[in-house]
Amino acid sequence: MLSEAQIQRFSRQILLREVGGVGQERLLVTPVRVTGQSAAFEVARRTLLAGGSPLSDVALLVIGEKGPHADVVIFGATVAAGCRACLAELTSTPSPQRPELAVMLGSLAALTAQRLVLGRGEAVVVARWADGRLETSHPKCPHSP
Amino acid sequence: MNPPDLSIDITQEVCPMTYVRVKLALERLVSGQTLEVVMSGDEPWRNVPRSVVEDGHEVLRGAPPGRLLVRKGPSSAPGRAGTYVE
Repeated sequence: MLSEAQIQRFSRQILLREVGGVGQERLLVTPVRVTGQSAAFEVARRTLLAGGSPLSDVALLVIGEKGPHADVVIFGATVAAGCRACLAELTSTPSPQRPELAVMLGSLAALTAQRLVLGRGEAVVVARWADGRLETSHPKCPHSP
Repeated sequence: MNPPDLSIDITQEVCPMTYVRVKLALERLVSGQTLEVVMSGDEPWRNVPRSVVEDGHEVLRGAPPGRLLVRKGPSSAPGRAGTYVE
């Protein structure tokens, strides 16, 4: 049950059709792990915290990055660790490091993670820059059945 | 008319908390149950009925003056547009 302070703080998020009070309660108790260190991941980290998600090193839902650039890979709880490593290798295309792109990428990562917490969307989401455009995809690990 | 399953008073609230209170109250009900909302002022009367319908619920006719009567729509269909019942 949301407290009055939580209702006031997250009121605009509660208004969203996909969230509501039940969804906000789930966001508040489902930890998310953000492993990246780049600017995009700082944006993702702050966006998730502002939305009420607790950040934890032991969370099942992970936002990670590959290499020195800002590709974003978001894994849901159902993706095995072996598949995560495999998929990360598949998504190693370098991305530009412009601040405005980091904000967009980080925001997208946070929103995608929230959707996964709420049981919506694919278990694996990859976001990257390709030919000057932000693209998302849902690759499957070639080794999984 | 049967009494509502739940009644809330949002006369002291301002936007966006008016609909936040209604939305949270509707989440406490099951599909088909009714919520009475005591409202005052132009803003809630403009926005709350519209938001209720957009969220897939029904605005019922026959509520006393100053009150909105809502029937909760199917919980399993978020985003499904609801109806005004004439």
